[in-house]
Amino acid sequence: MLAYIGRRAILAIFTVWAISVLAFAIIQLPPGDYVTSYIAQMASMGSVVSDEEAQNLRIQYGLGQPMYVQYLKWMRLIVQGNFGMSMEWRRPVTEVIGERLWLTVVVSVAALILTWVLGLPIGIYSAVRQYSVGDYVATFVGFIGLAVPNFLLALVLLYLGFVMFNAHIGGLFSPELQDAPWSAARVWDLLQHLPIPALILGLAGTAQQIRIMRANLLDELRKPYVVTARSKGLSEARVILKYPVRVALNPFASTIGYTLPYIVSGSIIVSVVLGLPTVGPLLLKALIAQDMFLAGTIVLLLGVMTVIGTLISDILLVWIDPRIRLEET
Amino acid sequence: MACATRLIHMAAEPLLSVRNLKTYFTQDEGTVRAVDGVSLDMAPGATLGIVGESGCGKSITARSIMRIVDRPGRIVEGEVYFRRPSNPGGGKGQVVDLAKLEPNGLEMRSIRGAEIALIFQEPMSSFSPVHSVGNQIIEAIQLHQPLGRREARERAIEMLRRVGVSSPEERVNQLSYQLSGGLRQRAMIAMALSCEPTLLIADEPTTALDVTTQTQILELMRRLQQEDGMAIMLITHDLGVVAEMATDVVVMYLGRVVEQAPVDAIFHDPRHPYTRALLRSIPRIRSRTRERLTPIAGAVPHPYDRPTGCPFHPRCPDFMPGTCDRQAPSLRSVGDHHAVSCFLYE
Amino acid sequence: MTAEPEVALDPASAPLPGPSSVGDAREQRVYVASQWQLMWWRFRKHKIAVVSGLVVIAFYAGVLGADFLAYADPDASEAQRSLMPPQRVYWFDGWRFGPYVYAVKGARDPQSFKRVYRADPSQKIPIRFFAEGFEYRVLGLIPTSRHLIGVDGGLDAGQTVFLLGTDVQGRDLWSRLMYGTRISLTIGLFGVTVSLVLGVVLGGLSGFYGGVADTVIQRTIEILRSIPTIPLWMGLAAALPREWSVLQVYFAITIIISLLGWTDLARVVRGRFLAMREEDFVVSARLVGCSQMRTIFVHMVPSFMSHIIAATTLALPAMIISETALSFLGLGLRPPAISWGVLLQQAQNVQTVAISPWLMLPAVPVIIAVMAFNFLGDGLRDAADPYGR
Repeated sequence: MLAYIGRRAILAIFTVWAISVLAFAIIQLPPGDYVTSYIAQMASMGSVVSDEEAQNLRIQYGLGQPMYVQYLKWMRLIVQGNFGMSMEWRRPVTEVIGERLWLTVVVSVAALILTWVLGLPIGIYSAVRQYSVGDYVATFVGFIGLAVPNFLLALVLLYLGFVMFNAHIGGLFSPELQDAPWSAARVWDLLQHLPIPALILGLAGTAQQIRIMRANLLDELRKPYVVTARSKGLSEARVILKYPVRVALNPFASTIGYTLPYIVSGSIIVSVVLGLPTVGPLLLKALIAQDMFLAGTIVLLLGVMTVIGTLISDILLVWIDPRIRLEET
Repeated sequence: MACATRLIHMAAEPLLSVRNLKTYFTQDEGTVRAVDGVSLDMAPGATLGIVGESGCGKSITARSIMRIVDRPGRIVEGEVYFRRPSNPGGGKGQVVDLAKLEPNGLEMRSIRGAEIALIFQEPMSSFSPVHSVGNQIIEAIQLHQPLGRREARERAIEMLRRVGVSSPEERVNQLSYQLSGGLRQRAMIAMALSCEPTLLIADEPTTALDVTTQTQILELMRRLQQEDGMAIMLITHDLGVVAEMATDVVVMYLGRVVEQAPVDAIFHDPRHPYTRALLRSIPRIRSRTRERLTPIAGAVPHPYDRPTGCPFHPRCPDFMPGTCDRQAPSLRSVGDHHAVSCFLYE
Repeated sequence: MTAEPEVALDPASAPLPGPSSVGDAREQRVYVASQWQLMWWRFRKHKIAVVSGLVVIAFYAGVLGADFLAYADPDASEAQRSLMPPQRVYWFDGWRFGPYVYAVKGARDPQSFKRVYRADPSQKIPIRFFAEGFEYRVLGLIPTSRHLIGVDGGLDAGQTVFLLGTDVQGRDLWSRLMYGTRISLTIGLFGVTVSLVLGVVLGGLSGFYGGVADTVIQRTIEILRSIPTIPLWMGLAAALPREWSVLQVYFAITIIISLLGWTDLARVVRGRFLAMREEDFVVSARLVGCSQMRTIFVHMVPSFMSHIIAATTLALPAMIISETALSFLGLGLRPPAISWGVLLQQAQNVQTVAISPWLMLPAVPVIIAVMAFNFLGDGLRDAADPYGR
């Protein structure tokens, strides 16, 4: 088992490195750099930036040197914990990002938990009571979840909320507590606002879980060992839950790892629509403004966070059931 | 020739008495009459062999008795009288109609696994792939007996030893795929017998095993039967196994009993044309070379396509037009505990 | 130890065993049917999948006939007509079937300074079928100016019909939707082809040769799958030069999306190759003397063709959603290009949408298309699986 964890850890390190390179490349891709867009911004406001000023700015921000040098500089800074300055906000990147990254984590994890808490029981029910009304409803909801992209769902729900209830369902906090320091009240406020974004984010994943669980369980329910269990005199509930459900759960284990990146990904757009104070809207603005340090750091942190989360879930699963790693083909 | 001890009479009251059992499967395409009026009796300690081709309803009969028929199957008619074991305080055990009990109710579940046990054909897929063999045996024990975990485990190990599994302390922790076919079947028998049932239903227990293992398992079953005095309902399509193990035989075709007799009578004096054809179709070791095999003509009809009248008449060499295709014959006695369902004998 | 059946037996009296009946003609047909025919028969039973297939075909018919289905120039903006709500269509003029709409007068509300529209019942504008409209070329070749619907007077009419309302620049939403369908559905095709090629090649290498190639490709796939894709797409899309033409951006976006999307297909292909390597029929092909190429292409590939088709069909909705998402954010296709995502960009915030909810209508074809492709792909996958129920 240690060997398995070791392998996953090494792979994770590679992944993080790949992300850092990609993040850096993304930032460097647009022609021109922050200074050019700064100049353009100044020009649109009527002021002019001289060439000398531009040059000084460039040196100051370290732009203009060969790529790999800039990359290594960036890496060294990061290892020291210095993520650079956001040129647009003129504050350290860490300040600008602030608690947004943690909130992204919170929303993503909430969505992930939801897919399991909702998806599995409904999937089990669907399979055991095949063709019942409940089964059809669950299947239908499942298809909605798969067919409607999460950001469109967010949009529609926003509209309905606004028009029907005159309520603004976006956001993770009530206006009063938006910028307040952390307190029990704030945590509670967050929990109250969490269900809707988590549901929107997690609906597609939930639908997927329902479908897979239903299909797997239907396969297992026909197998002889279920009959054996029944013939021993076990109650029907125990027969189902102890045996076929347990076997049907196995293929899931390998899918957890890849649900997290998907959810984190989705949270970016959904946050934009719902106006959540997470990393999504910030990233969008940073990319449009070509704010190099900010955008690159967000992509890097987002990626690293996802990889760590995936690694933790992999380790947890192997710890729970060593047999799972046999599924790794 | 070591045959089972023959029970001439069923003078003592029967352990199990099935009366006109009908189990139908209703689906969109039609209704499958899997068990269509089966009646049979089992004496305590006897071995009843149930033979027939695949699809004749033997397994469904067993499952109907155990009340574990899958949806959309249902018992639509009939009774299954089972004499429950008497209390140690004396007195005869009560007779209960299993067909009337709630399949998932407390009473049926306390009978199932403890008083009537079932073993299956495919021990590999009959054991859960993710739980140890011991776990599953212990579960059966703890379900029906008030034993703690440790005692249940010891009892499981003891059962394994009794059925001839070597190093049972290790085996008890293994998964089913780690055991050979013969060991698995022994483990399954251990699990079934762990609560000392009075009736063991064995659904094709040796079909998936090679011949040597087959013999061992059959020997094992015989030995256990002698030690515990339980009755065995042996479902098989192998007439050889029947000859070796059974005291009485029931022949089934398309969900009905066509002939019922003590084992010797079935082999030496078969009455029903189907029984005769079955026996004829066995390849004989003493036959001349190049002699043709004699299978039964035709094929088993599609379940949705049952023939009217006697279900066997399209393939019967003694078919009597006008009689056999009009009505189904009923089971009538033709001798000493010998009954046939055929118009030839009415 | 078997008992000897001593039944007196005269073999001659026993009925001769005839050849067992093979069944009726229908069963015969099943035996000789080709793999594709079998697939088609299984597919046909899956009603929802068949309906979805028809929907998909209808969509692509719409792609070809976008010009015909639209009635207004999608780029013709007109401030006077900004944010008009959808017009109500009256289907019967008296007792006759004659759809028409009322002319609409716009005025500026003196208090909110917003344009308000009122229908003028005194002016009926009949809707004509196969009417004249702006010029276009059928399939890029034949010039014509007939459209499915239009109004009398064609382009010169003072008023015209707006089935789905207009956007903030006064452009007809229906016509833009028709053109948007064209781009949204074809962008997916191209991207899926790229993913397909990458997936089959890499997955095939991985599965067939195993060893080092397999390990490297597998690890790469795992790395790619652990990365959240949208931030990357956003970054790559934002990096595209603003001077690029619509077409260049279009292709760049599809390539970006496919670069990460090939992993699923590769895994399917690899899985199939791995499973098939051990199959007896492959081994016997090699034993008979087939070259490796022949073994792969003649024996192995046809076995999983159907799986590939199913996987590809299921990959399309992901492409469509990705493009829609990117364009919605403003990072993908940009005006003057028209796609569902670009159309939805106008619906980005709730205030706009609350006043003009019809701006959300482009979401409908997205949802329908995704559902249709999903059901179709499911149906194909079930039909392709020889071991399915």
